[in-house]
Amino acid sequence: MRFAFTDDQRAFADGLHDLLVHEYPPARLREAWAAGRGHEPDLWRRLADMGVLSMMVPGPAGGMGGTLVDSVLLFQQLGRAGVPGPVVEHLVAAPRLAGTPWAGGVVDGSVVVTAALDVDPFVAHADVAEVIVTPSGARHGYAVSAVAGLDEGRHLAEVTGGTLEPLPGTDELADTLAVATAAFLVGLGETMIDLAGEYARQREQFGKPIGAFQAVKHLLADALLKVEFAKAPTYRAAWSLSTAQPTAGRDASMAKALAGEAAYRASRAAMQVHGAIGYTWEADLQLFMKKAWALQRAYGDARWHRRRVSAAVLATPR
Amino acid sequence: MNVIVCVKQIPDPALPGALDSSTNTLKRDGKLILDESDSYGVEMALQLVDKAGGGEVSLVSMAPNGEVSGLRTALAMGAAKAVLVSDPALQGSDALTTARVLAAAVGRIGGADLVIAATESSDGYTGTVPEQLAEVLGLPSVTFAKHVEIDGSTLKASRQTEDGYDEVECPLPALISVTAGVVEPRYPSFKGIMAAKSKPVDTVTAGDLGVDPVGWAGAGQQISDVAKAPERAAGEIVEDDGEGFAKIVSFLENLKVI
Repeated sequence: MRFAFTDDQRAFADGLHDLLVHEYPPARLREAWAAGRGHEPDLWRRLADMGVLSMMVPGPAGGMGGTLVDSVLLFQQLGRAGVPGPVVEHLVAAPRLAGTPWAGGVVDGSVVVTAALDVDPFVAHADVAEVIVTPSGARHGYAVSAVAGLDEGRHLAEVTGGTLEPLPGTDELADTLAVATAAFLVGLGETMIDLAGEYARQREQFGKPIGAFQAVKHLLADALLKVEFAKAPTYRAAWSLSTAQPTAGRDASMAKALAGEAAYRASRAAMQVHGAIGYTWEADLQLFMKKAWALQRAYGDARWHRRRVSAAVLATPR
Repeated sequence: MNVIVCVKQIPDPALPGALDSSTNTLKRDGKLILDESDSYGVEMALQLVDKAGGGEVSLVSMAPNGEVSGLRTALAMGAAKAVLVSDPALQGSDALTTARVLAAAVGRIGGADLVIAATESSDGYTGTVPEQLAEVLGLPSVTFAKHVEIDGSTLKASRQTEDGYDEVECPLPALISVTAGVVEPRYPSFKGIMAAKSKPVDTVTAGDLGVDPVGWAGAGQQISDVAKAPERAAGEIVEDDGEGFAKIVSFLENLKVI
Protein backbone atom coordinates (compact mmCIF):
# COMPACT_ATOMS: atom_id res chain seq x y z
CA MET A 1 0.00 0.00 0.00
CA ARG A 2 1.16 3.48 -0.80
CA PHE A 3 0.90 5.94 2.09
CA ALA A 4 1.98 9.11 0.33
CA PHE A 5 0.11 11.37 -2.07
CA THR A 6 0.99 10.94 -5.75
CA ASP A 7 2.82 13.57 -7.79
CA ASP A 8 -0.46 14.37 -9.58
CA GLN A 9 -2.35 14.88 -6.33
CA ARG A 10 0.38 17.24 -5.14
CA ALA A 11 0.52 19.05 -8.48
CA PHE A 12 -3.26 19.67 -8.36
CA ALA A 13 -3.00 21.02 -4.80
CA ASP A 14 -0.02 23.22 -5.78
CA GLY A 15 -1.94 24.55 -8.79
CA LEU A 16 -4.95 25.44 -6.63
CA HIS A 17 -2.67 26.96 -3.98
CA ASP A 18 -1.09 29.15 -6.64
CA LEU A 19 -4.49 30.34 -7.86
CA LEU A 20 -5.80 31.11 -4.38
CA VAL A 21 -2.66 32.87 -3.12
CA HIS A 22 -2.74 35.22 -6.11
CA GLU A 23 -6.44 35.63 -6.75
CA TYR A 24 -7.97 35.24 -3.31
CA PRO A 25 -5.90 36.92 -0.59
CA PRO A 26 -7.60 37.76 2.75
CA ALA A 27 -8.33 41.29 1.47
CA ARG A 28 -10.67 39.82 -1.15
CA LEU A 29 -12.31 37.61 1.47
CA ARG A 30 -12.94 40.65 3.67
CA GLU A 31 -14.50 42.50 0.70
CA ALA A 32 -16.88 39.58 0.17
CA TRP A 33 -17.83 39.57 3.84
CA ALA A 34 -18.33 43.33 3.87
CA ALA A 35 -20.58 43.12 0.82
CA GLY A 36 -22.55 40.23 2.34
CA ARG A 37 -21.53 37.99 -0.58
CA GLY A 38 -21.77 34.39 0.48
CA HIS A 39 -20.54 33.25 -2.92
CA GLU A 40 -17.87 34.58 -5.29
CA PRO A 41 -18.90 34.15 -8.96
CA ASP A 42 -15.50 35.23 -10.39
CA LEU A 43 -13.53 32.82 -8.24
CA TRP A 44 -16.19 30.16 -8.88
CA ARG A 45 -15.60 30.43 -12.64
CA ARG A 46 -11.84 30.08 -12.15
CA LEU A 47 -12.34 27.03 -9.93
CA ALA A 48 -14.59 25.51 -12.59
CA ASP A 49 -12.05 26.25 -15.37
CA MET A 50 -9.25 24.67 -13.36
CA GLY A 51 -11.31 21.52 -12.81
CA VAL A 52 -11.67 21.87 -9.04
CA LEU A 53 -15.47 21.90 -8.97
CA SER A 54 -15.72 18.72 -11.03
CA MET A 55 -12.83 16.86 -9.39
CA MET A 56 -15.04 13.96 -8.29
CA VAL A 57 -17.33 13.90 -11.34
CA PRO A 58 -16.57 10.82 -13.50
CA GLY A 59 -14.47 11.37 -16.63
CA PRO A 60 -17.19 10.43 -19.16
CA ALA A 61 -19.41 13.15 -17.62
CA GLY A 62 -16.68 15.74 -18.21
CA GLY A 63 -15.11 15.68 -14.76
CA MET A 64 -11.69 14.64 -13.52
CA GLY A 65 -12.90 11.28 -12.21
CA GLY A 66 -11.07 11.82 -8.93
CA THR A 67 -11.67 10.07 -5.63
CA LEU A 68 -11.91 11.64 -2.20
CA VAL A 69 -8.18 10.90 -1.77
CA ASP A 70 -7.52 12.96 -4.93
CA SER A 71 -9.64 15.78 -3.51
CA VAL A 72 -8.67 15.91 0.14
CA LEU A 73 -5.66 18.20 -0.39
CA LEU A 74 -7.89 20.49 -2.48
CA PHE A 75 -10.33 20.86 0.42
CA GLN A 76 -7.36 21.68 2.64
CA GLN A 77 -6.19 24.40 0.22
CA LEU A 78 -9.72 25.85 -0.06
CA GLY A 79 -9.75 25.98 3.74
CA ARG A 80 -6.36 27.69 3.88
CA ALA A 81 -7.83 30.52 1.82
CA GLY A 82 -11.17 30.50 3.71
CA VAL A 83 -13.01 30.40 0.39
CA PRO A 84 -16.68 31.41 0.83
CA GLY A 85 -19.61 29.77 -0.91
CA PRO A 86 -20.61 26.12 -1.29
CA VAL A 87 -17.24 24.82 -2.52
CA VAL A 88 -17.14 21.82 -0.17
CA GLU A 89 -20.79 21.00 -0.74
CA HIS A 90 -20.63 21.42 -4.54
CA LEU A 91 -17.56 19.20 -4.92
CA VAL A 92 -19.17 16.48 -2.82
CA ALA A 93 -22.65 16.74 -4.36
CA ALA A 94 -21.68 17.18 -8.04
CA PRO A 95 -20.94 13.49 -8.84
CA ARG A 96 -24.28 12.49 -7.32
CA LEU A 97 -26.16 14.52 -9.95
CA ALA A 98 -25.01 12.30 -12.86
CA GLY A 99 -27.84 11.74 -15.32
CA THR A 100 -29.92 14.68 -14.05
CA PRO A 101 -30.58 17.92 -15.99
CA TRP A 102 -27.93 19.60 -13.80
CA ALA A 103 -25.10 17.18 -14.70
CA GLY A 104 -23.47 19.48 -17.29
CA GLY A 105 -23.91 22.66 -15.30
CA VAL A 106 -22.20 21.30 -12.20
CA VAL A 107 -19.07 20.59 -14.26
CA ASP A 108 -18.78 24.02 -15.94
CA GLY A 109 -19.96 25.76 -12.75
CA SER A 110 -23.08 27.33 -14.31
CA VAL A 111 -25.20 25.36 -11.84
CA VAL A 112 -24.33 25.90 -8.17
CA VAL A 113 -25.18 23.02 -5.87
CA THR A 114 -25.16 22.81 -2.12
CA ALA A 115 -25.62 19.83 0.18
CA ALA A 116 -27.24 19.24 3.55
CA LEU A 117 -28.21 16.46 5.90
CA ASP A 118 -31.91 15.72 6.29
CA VAL A 119 -31.65 16.46 10.01
CA ASP A 120 -30.18 19.95 9.50
CA PRO A 121 -32.74 22.61 10.44
CA PHE A 122 -31.00 25.15 8.20
CA VAL A 123 -29.29 24.70 4.86
CA ALA A 124 -25.98 26.43 4.16
CA HIS A 125 -25.69 28.29 0.83
CA ALA A 126 -29.32 27.56 -0.14
CA ASP A 127 -29.61 31.22 -1.18
CA VAL A 128 -26.98 30.88 -3.92
CA ALA A 129 -27.60 27.27 -4.95
CA GLU A 130 -30.06 25.98 -7.52
CA VAL A 131 -30.19 22.47 -6.10
CA ILE A 132 -29.77 21.00 -2.61
CA VAL A 133 -28.47 17.42 -2.49
CA THR A 134 -29.44 15.56 0.69
CA PRO A 135 -29.35 11.85 1.57
CA SER A 136 -32.97 11.63 0.41
CA GLY A 137 -32.41 13.25 -3.00
CA ALA A 138 -32.11 16.48 -4.96
CA ARG A 139 -34.35 19.36 -3.92
CA HIS A 140 -35.04 22.29 -6.25
CA GLY A 141 -37.56 25.08 -6.79
CA TYR A 142 -37.65 25.83 -3.07
CA ALA A 143 -38.09 29.12 -1.19
CA VAL A 144 -35.50 30.37 1.30
CA SER A 145 -35.69 32.64 4.28
CA ALA A 146 -32.36 33.82 5.66
CA VAL A 147 -31.21 32.93 9.16
CA ALA A 148 -28.42 34.89 10.88
CA GLY A 149 -25.18 32.94 11.07
CA LEU A 150 -21.65 33.43 12.32
CA ASP A 151 -19.83 33.00 9.03
CA GLU A 152 -20.55 35.67 6.40
CA GLY A 153 -19.19 33.34 3.73
CA ARG A 154 -21.70 30.65 4.64
CA HIS A 155 -25.23 31.96 4.57
CA LEU A 156 -27.81 29.84 6.36
CA ALA A 157 -31.45 29.63 5.39
CA GLU A 158 -34.66 27.87 6.26
CA VAL A 159 -35.87 26.07 3.16
CA THR A 160 -39.53 25.45 2.33
CA GLY A 161 -41.39 23.84 -0.55
CA GLY A 162 -39.80 22.69 -3.78
CA THR A 163 -39.60 19.29 -5.41
CA LEU A 164 -37.51 16.35 -4.22
CA GLU A 165 -36.08 14.03 -6.89
CA PRO A 166 -34.67 10.77 -5.57
CA LEU A 167 -31.02 10.18 -6.45
CA PRO A 168 -29.04 6.97 -6.55
CA GLY A 169 -25.83 6.85 -4.55
CA THR A 170 -26.35 9.40 -1.79
CA ASP A 171 -25.52 6.85 0.92
CA GLU A 172 -22.10 8.21 1.82
CA LEU A 173 -23.10 11.85 1.50
CA ALA A 174 -22.93 12.58 5.24
CA ASP A 175 -19.57 10.87 5.72
CA THR A 176 -18.08 12.50 2.62
CA LEU A 177 -19.24 15.94 3.75
CA ALA A 178 -17.73 15.27 7.18
CA VAL A 179 -14.32 14.32 5.74
CA ALA A 180 -14.27 17.18 3.20
CA THR A 181 -15.16 19.63 5.97
CA ALA A 182 -12.49 18.09 8.20
CA ALA A 183 -9.87 18.80 5.53
CA PHE A 184 -11.20 22.35 5.10
CA LEU A 185 -10.91 22.81 8.91
CA VAL A 186 -7.30 21.57 8.82
CA GLY A 187 -6.57 24.27 6.22
CA LEU A 188 -8.28 26.93 8.34
CA GLY A 189 -6.23 25.81 11.35
CA GLU A 190 -3.00 26.10 9.38
CA THR A 191 -3.84 29.63 8.28
CA MET A 192 -4.81 30.79 11.76
CA ILE A 193 -1.52 29.49 13.16
CA ASP A 194 0.38 31.17 10.30
CA LEU A 195 -1.37 34.48 11.03
CA ALA A 196 -0.63 34.19 14.75
CA GLY A 197 3.01 33.33 14.06
CA GLU A 198 3.35 36.33 11.79
CA TYR A 199 1.76 38.58 14.41
CA ALA A 200 3.99 37.17 17.19
CA ARG A 201 7.07 38.07 15.17
CA GLN A 202 5.91 41.69 14.76
CA ARG A 203 4.12 42.64 17.97
CA GLU A 204 6.58 43.77 20.65
CA GLN A 205 6.13 43.80 24.39
CA PHE A 206 8.80 44.26 27.10
CA GLY A 207 11.19 45.30 24.36
CA LYS A 208 11.02 42.19 22.19
CA PRO A 209 8.63 40.40 19.83
CA ILE A 210 6.07 38.42 21.84
CA GLY A 211 7.01 35.33 19.84
CA ALA A 212 10.30 35.30 21.77
CA PHE A 213 8.44 34.36 24.96
CA GLN A 214 8.20 30.66 25.71
CA ALA A 215 4.57 30.79 26.79
CA VAL A 216 3.55 32.19 23.39
CA LYS A 217 5.71 29.66 21.52
CA HIS A 218 4.21 26.75 23.47
CA LEU A 219 0.68 27.98 22.88
CA LEU A 220 1.18 27.96 19.12
CA ALA A 221 3.24 24.75 19.12
CA ASP A 222 0.44 22.91 20.96
CA ALA A 223 -2.13 24.19 18.48
CA LEU A 224 0.05 23.19 15.51
CA LEU A 225 0.46 19.73 17.03
CA LYS A 226 -3.34 19.32 17.12
CA VAL A 227 -3.68 20.43 13.50
CA GLU A 228 -0.87 18.15 12.32
CA PHE A 229 -2.35 15.21 14.26
CA ALA A 230 -5.72 15.79 12.59
CA LYS A 231 -4.19 15.44 9.11
CA ALA A 232 -3.44 11.69 9.16
CA PRO A 233 -6.94 10.64 10.34
CA THR A 234 -8.46 12.98 7.71
CA TYR A 235 -6.39 11.47 4.90
CA ARG A 236 -7.10 8.00 6.25
CA ALA A 237 -10.84 8.65 6.27
CA ALA A 238 -10.65 9.90 2.67
CA TRP A 239 -8.96 6.62 1.72
CA SER A 240 -11.50 4.53 3.65
CA LEU A 241 -14.39 6.21 1.84
CA SER A 242 -12.66 6.08 -1.57
CA THR A 243 -12.08 2.35 -1.22
CA ALA A 244 -15.39 1.51 0.53
CA GLN A 245 -13.77 0.16 3.68
CA PRO A 246 -16.13 -1.25 6.33
CA THR A 247 -14.61 1.26 8.81
CA ALA A 248 -15.40 4.28 6.59
CA GLY A 249 -18.08 5.68 8.93
CA ARG A 250 -15.91 5.37 12.02
CA ASP A 251 -12.91 6.89 10.21
CA ALA A 252 -14.96 9.81 8.89
CA SER A 253 -16.20 10.54 12.40
CA MET A 254 -12.69 10.36 13.84
CA ALA A 255 -11.48 12.84 11.20
CA LYS A 256 -14.29 15.34 11.73
CA ALA A 257 -14.00 15.19 15.54
CA LEU A 258 -10.22 15.70 15.55
CA ALA A 259 -10.13 18.34 12.80
CA GLY A 260 -12.97 20.32 14.40
CA GLU A 261 -11.22 20.32 17.76
CA ALA A 262 -7.86 21.16 16.18
CA ALA A 263 -9.27 24.15 14.29
CA TYR A 264 -11.02 25.30 17.46
CA ARG A 265 -7.79 25.01 19.45
CA ALA A 266 -5.94 26.90 16.70
CA SER A 267 -8.56 29.67 16.81
CA ARG A 268 -8.24 30.00 20.61
CA ALA A 269 -4.46 30.08 20.50
CA ALA A 270 -4.34 32.53 17.59
CA MET A 271 -6.92 34.75 19.29
CA GLN A 272 -4.92 34.79 22.52
CA VAL A 273 -1.69 35.66 20.67
CA HIS A 274 -3.42 38.51 18.85
CA GLY A 275 -5.20 39.85 21.92
CA ALA A 276 -8.42 41.80 21.42
CA ILE A 277 -7.28 43.06 18.01
CA GLY A 278 -7.80 39.52 16.66
CA TYR A 279 -11.54 39.85 17.06
CA THR A 280 -11.80 43.16 15.25
CA TRP A 281 -13.14 43.46 11.73
CA GLU A 282 -9.76 44.75 10.49
CA ALA A 283 -7.80 41.67 11.61
CA ASP A 284 -7.63 38.81 9.09
CA LEU A 285 -7.88 36.29 11.92
CA GLN A 286 -11.59 36.85 12.55
CA LEU A 287 -12.49 35.79 8.99
CA PHE A 288 -10.92 32.37 9.45
CA MET A 289 -11.87 32.01 13.12
CA LYS A 290 -15.60 32.50 12.59
CA LYS A 291 -15.61 30.11 9.65
CA ALA A 292 -13.86 27.50 11.82
CA TRP A 293 -16.45 27.95 14.57
CA ALA A 294 -19.29 27.49 12.09
CA LEU A 295 -17.75 24.45 10.40
CA GLN A 296 -16.76 22.63 13.58
CA ARG A 297 -20.49 22.29 14.25
CA ALA A 298 -21.51 21.53 10.66
CA TYR A 299 -22.27 17.94 9.56
CA GLY A 300 -21.97 16.70 13.15
CA ASP A 301 -19.96 18.31 15.94
CA ALA A 302 -17.05 16.68 17.74
CA ARG A 303 -19.28 15.29 20.50
CA TRP A 304 -21.62 13.58 18.07
CA HIS A 305 -18.75 12.13 16.03
CA ARG A 306 -16.90 10.93 19.15
CA ARG A 307 -20.00 9.01 20.25
CA ARG A 308 -20.14 7.42 16.83
CA VAL A 309 -16.49 6.39 17.08
CA SER A 310 -16.98 4.94 20.55
CA ALA A 311 -20.08 3.01 19.46
CA ALA A 312 -18.14 1.59 16.48
CA VAL A 313 -15.13 0.65 18.61
CA LEU A 314 -17.20 -0.97 21.38
CA ALA A 315 -19.25 -2.93 18.85
CA THR A 316 -16.12 -4.49 17.35
CA PRO A 317 -15.74 -8.05 18.68
CA ARG A 318 -12.43 -8.57 20.50
CA MET B 1 1.04 30.31 -36.96
CA ASN B 2 3.89 28.75 -35.02
CA VAL B 3 5.36 30.55 -32.05
CA ILE B 4 8.45 29.64 -30.04
CA VAL B 5 8.73 31.01 -26.52
CA CYS B 6 12.04 31.22 -24.65
CA VAL B 7 11.41 30.27 -21.04
CA LYS B 8 13.80 30.26 -18.12
CA GLN B 9 13.47 27.92 -15.18
CA ILE B 10 14.67 29.67 -12.04
CA PRO B 11 15.03 28.90 -8.32
CA ASP B 12 11.77 29.76 -6.50
CA PRO B 13 12.02 33.49 -5.65
CA ALA B 14 10.00 32.78 -2.49
CA LEU B 15 12.91 30.75 -1.11
CA PRO B 16 16.17 32.37 0.03
CA GLY B 17 18.70 32.22 -2.83
CA ALA B 18 22.35 31.35 -2.28
CA LEU B 19 25.59 31.86 -4.18
CA ASP B 20 28.05 29.09 -4.88
CA SER B 21 31.19 30.46 -3.20
CA SER B 22 33.54 28.66 -5.61
CA THR B 23 32.07 30.28 -8.76
CA ASN B 24 30.14 33.29 -7.33
CA THR B 25 27.12 32.17 -9.38
CA LEU B 26 23.59 31.49 -8.21
CA LYS B 27 23.04 27.96 -6.88
CA ARG B 28 20.55 26.32 -9.22
CA ASP B 29 20.71 22.70 -8.07
CA GLY B 30 17.27 22.46 -6.43
CA LYS B 31 13.84 22.36 -8.02
CA LEU B 32 13.37 25.13 -10.56
CA ILE B 33 10.12 26.86 -11.46
CA LEU B 34 8.88 28.75 -14.52
CA ASP B 35 10.06 32.37 -14.32
CA GLU B 36 6.88 34.38 -13.80
CA SER B 37 8.03 36.96 -16.35
CA ASP B 38 8.03 34.18 -18.98
CA SER B 39 4.45 33.17 -18.19
CA TYR B 40 3.31 36.35 -19.98
CA GLY B 41 5.11 35.30 -23.15
CA VAL B 42 3.60 31.82 -22.99
CA GLU B 43 0.12 33.28 -22.53
CA MET B 44 0.59 35.76 -25.38
CA ALA B 45 1.82 32.97 -27.67
CA LEU B 46 -1.19 30.81 -26.83
CA GLN B 47 -3.56 33.71 -27.52
CA LEU B 48 -1.88 34.59 -30.85
CA VAL B 49 -1.97 30.97 -32.06
CA ASP B 50 -5.58 30.70 -30.95
CA LYS B 51 -6.49 33.88 -32.83
CA ALA B 52 -4.62 32.71 -35.94
CA GLY B 53 -6.79 29.59 -35.88
CA GLY B 54 -3.94 27.10 -36.18
CA GLY B 55 -0.34 26.26 -35.42
CA GLU B 56 1.30 25.56 -32.10
CA VAL B 57 3.39 27.00 -29.31
CA SER B 58 6.81 25.44 -28.64
CA LEU B 59 9.26 26.19 -25.86
CA VAL B 60 13.02 26.45 -25.67
CA SER B 61 14.89 26.49 -22.37
CA MET B 62 18.40 26.08 -21.03
CA ALA B 63 18.68 24.62 -17.52
CA PRO B 64 21.03 22.46 -15.44
CA ASN B 65 20.36 18.82 -14.43
CA GLY B 66 17.73 18.17 -17.10
CA GLU B 67 15.26 20.23 -15.06
CA VAL B 68 11.76 20.20 -16.55
CA SER B 69 9.46 21.36 -13.68
CA GLY B 70 9.12 24.88 -15.08
CA LEU B 71 8.66 23.56 -18.63
CA ARG B 72 5.85 21.29 -17.42
CA THR B 73 4.05 24.34 -16.06
CA ALA B 74 4.24 26.05 -19.47
CA LEU B 75 3.21 22.80 -21.21
CA ALA B 76 0.26 22.53 -18.77
CA MET B 77 -0.78 26.04 -19.82
CA GLY B 78 -1.08 24.74 -23.38
CA ALA B 79 2.30 24.70 -25.15
CA ALA B 80 2.73 21.64 -27.39
CA LYS B 81 6.39 20.67 -27.03
CA ALA B 82 9.78 21.80 -25.78
CA VAL B 83 13.49 21.64 -26.47
CA LEU B 84 15.58 21.65 -23.29
CA VAL B 85 19.31 22.28 -23.51
CA SER B 86 20.94 20.77 -20.45
CA ASP B 87 24.68 20.26 -20.28
CA PRO B 88 27.16 20.58 -17.39
CA ALA B 89 29.47 22.37 -19.87
CA LEU B 90 27.01 25.28 -19.96
CA GLN B 91 27.77 26.25 -16.33
CA GLY B 92 29.11 29.83 -16.35
CA SER B 93 27.70 30.75 -19.77
CA ASP B 94 27.22 34.48 -20.33
CA ALA B 95 24.28 36.18 -22.03
CA LEU B 96 25.71 35.92 -25.55
CA THR B 97 26.44 32.19 -25.20
CA THR B 98 22.90 31.74 -23.85
CA ALA B 99 21.57 33.55 -26.93
CA ARG B 100 23.66 31.29 -29.25
CA VAL B 101 22.40 28.17 -27.51
CA LEU B 102 18.77 29.32 -27.58
CA ALA B 103 19.13 30.29 -31.25
CA ALA B 104 20.34 26.78 -32.05
CA ALA B 105 17.41 25.34 -30.08
CA VAL B 106 14.99 27.60 -31.98
CA GLY B 107 16.58 26.31 -35.20
CA ARG B 108 16.15 22.71 -34.05
CA ILE B 109 12.38 23.24 -33.78
CA GLY B 110 12.32 25.35 -36.96
CA GLY B 111 9.46 27.03 -38.79
CA ALA B 112 8.75 29.75 -36.25
CA ASP B 113 6.75 32.77 -37.38
CA LEU B 114 7.45 34.52 -34.12
CA VAL B 115 9.89 34.08 -31.23
CA ILE B 116 8.82 35.52 -27.87
CA ALA B 117 10.99 36.25 -24.84
CA ALA B 118 10.52 38.19 -21.62
CA THR B 119 12.39 41.50 -21.32
CA GLU B 120 14.66 39.97 -18.69
CA SER B 121 14.80 37.02 -16.30
CA SER B 122 13.89 37.40 -12.64
CA ASP B 123 17.13 35.84 -11.41
CA GLY B 124 19.75 37.15 -13.84
CA TYR B 125 18.46 40.56 -14.95
CA THR B 126 20.94 41.09 -17.78
CA GLY B 127 18.05 41.97 -20.11
CA THR B 128 20.18 41.47 -23.21
CA VAL B 129 19.44 37.91 -24.33
CA PRO B 130 16.35 38.69 -26.48
CA GLU B 131 18.21 41.26 -28.63
CA GLN B 132 21.29 39.03 -28.93
CA LEU B 133 19.05 36.11 -29.87
CA ALA B 134 17.39 38.20 -32.61
CA GLU B 135 20.82 39.15 -33.96
CA VAL B 136 22.07 35.55 -33.97
CA LEU B 137 18.84 34.39 -35.67
CA GLY B 138 18.98 37.32 -38.11
CA LEU B 139 15.43 38.39 -37.19
CA PRO B 140 14.01 41.88 -36.66
CA SER B 141 13.54 42.55 -32.94
CA VAL B 142 10.81 44.52 -31.18
CA THR B 143 11.51 45.02 -27.49
CA PHE B 144 9.25 45.93 -24.56
CA ALA B 145 6.06 45.02 -26.43
CA LYS B 146 2.99 45.70 -24.34
CA HIS B 147 0.42 44.97 -27.02
CA VAL B 148 0.85 42.74 -30.06
CA GLU B 149 -1.29 42.04 -33.09
CA ILE B 150 -0.58 39.95 -36.16
CA ASP B 151 -1.91 41.20 -39.49
CA GLY B 152 -1.06 38.71 -42.22
CA SER B 153 2.71 38.61 -42.32
CA THR B 154 3.12 41.85 -40.38
CA LEU B 155 3.56 42.26 -36.67
CA LYS B 156 2.09 45.41 -35.10
CA ALA B 157 3.19 46.20 -31.58
CA SER B 158 2.91 48.93 -28.99
CA ARG B 159 6.37 49.35 -27.59
CA GLN B 160 6.64 50.66 -24.01
CA THR B 161 8.86 53.73 -23.62
CA GLU B 162 9.58 56.03 -20.70
CA ASP B 163 7.08 58.60 -21.93
CA GLY B 164 4.35 56.41 -23.38
CA TYR B 165 4.54 53.93 -26.21
CA ASP B 166 5.65 53.70 -29.82
CA GLU B 167 3.54 51.98 -32.45
CA VAL B 168 5.85 49.84 -34.54
CA GLU B 169 5.46 47.37 -37.37
CA CYS B 170 7.81 44.73 -38.68
CA PRO B 171 7.64 41.78 -41.06
CA LEU B 172 7.41 38.23 -39.76
CA PRO B 173 9.29 36.16 -38.79
CA ALA B 174 10.44 38.35 -35.91
CA LEU B 175 11.42 38.29 -32.26
CA ILE B 176 9.62 40.26 -29.58
CA SER B 177 10.29 40.75 -25.89
CA VAL B 178 7.13 41.26 -23.84
CA THR B 179 6.75 43.19 -20.61
CA ALA B 180 5.19 41.74 -17.45
CA GLY B 181 1.46 42.31 -17.15
CA VAL B 182 0.96 42.43 -20.93
CA VAL B 183 -1.67 39.66 -20.68
CA GLU B 184 -3.10 37.71 -17.78
CA PRO B 185 -1.38 34.30 -17.70
CA ARG B 186 -3.84 31.45 -17.28
CA TYR B 187 -3.60 29.00 -14.39
CA PRO B 188 -2.99 25.48 -15.69
CA SER B 189 -6.12 23.35 -15.43
CA PHE B 190 -5.95 19.88 -13.90
CA LYS B 191 -6.51 18.40 -17.36
CA GLY B 192 -3.64 20.55 -18.65
CA ILE B 193 -1.39 19.29 -15.84
CA MET B 194 -2.24 15.67 -16.74
CA ALA B 195 -1.71 16.28 -20.47
CA ALA B 196 1.64 18.03 -19.89
CA LYS B 197 3.17 14.80 -18.59
CA SER B 198 2.97 13.17 -22.01
CA LYS B 199 4.05 16.16 -24.13
CA PRO B 200 7.46 15.75 -25.79
CA VAL B 201 10.52 17.40 -24.24
CA ASP B 202 13.57 16.98 -26.47
CA THR B 203 16.61 17.15 -24.16
CA VAL B 204 19.88 17.96 -25.94
CA THR B 205 23.43 19.11 -25.09
CA ALA B 206 25.31 22.13 -26.44
CA GLY B 207 27.36 19.64 -28.49
CA ASP B 208 24.22 18.18 -30.09
CA LEU B 209 23.37 21.71 -31.22
CA GLY B 210 26.90 22.35 -32.46
CA VAL B 211 27.45 25.38 -30.20
CA ASP B 212 31.04 25.75 -29.00
CA PRO B 213 32.69 27.14 -26.91
CA VAL B 214 30.20 27.43 -24.05
CA GLY B 215 30.34 27.83 -20.26
CA TRP B 216 33.23 29.69 -18.64
CA ALA B 217 35.37 29.01 -21.72
CA GLY B 218 32.97 30.85 -24.02
CA ALA B 219 32.11 33.65 -21.63
CA GLY B 220 33.27 37.18 -22.36
CA GLN B 221 32.90 38.00 -18.67
CA GLN B 222 34.35 36.92 -15.35
CA ILE B 223 32.89 37.30 -11.89
CA SER B 224 35.90 38.57 -9.93
CA ASP B 225 34.19 39.44 -6.66
CA VAL B 226 30.82 39.61 -4.95
CA ALA B 227 30.17 42.19 -2.24
CA LYS B 228 27.17 43.16 -0.17
CA ALA B 229 25.32 46.28 -1.32
CA PRO B 230 26.25 49.23 0.93
CA GLU B 231 23.61 50.03 3.53
CA ARG B 232 21.62 53.16 2.92
CA ALA B 233 22.99 56.17 4.76
CA ALA B 234 20.70 57.64 7.42
CA GLY B 235 18.60 60.57 6.21
CA GLU B 236 18.67 64.04 7.68
CA ILE B 237 16.10 64.74 10.37
CA VAL B 238 14.81 68.32 10.48
CA GLU B 239 13.16 69.60 13.67
CA ASP B 240 10.31 71.84 12.55
CA ASP B 241 10.63 75.10 14.47
CA GLY B 242 8.16 76.83 12.18
CA GLU B 243 10.78 77.27 9.42
CA GLY B 244 11.02 73.61 8.43
CA PHE B 245 9.45 74.33 5.02
CA ALA B 246 12.43 76.56 4.07
CA LYS B 247 14.81 73.64 4.64
CA ILE B 248 12.65 71.40 2.43
CA VAL B 249 12.61 74.06 -0.29
CA SER B 250 16.40 74.48 -0.20
CA PHE B 251 16.84 70.66 -0.21
CA LEU B 252 14.70 70.39 -3.34
CA GLU B 253 16.57 73.30 -4.92
CA ASN B 254 19.85 71.51 -4.33
CA LEU B 255 18.44 68.51 -6.16
CA LYS B 256 17.46 70.94 -8.95
CA VAL B 257 13.91 69.59 -8.97
CA ILE B 258 12.38 73.03 -8.32
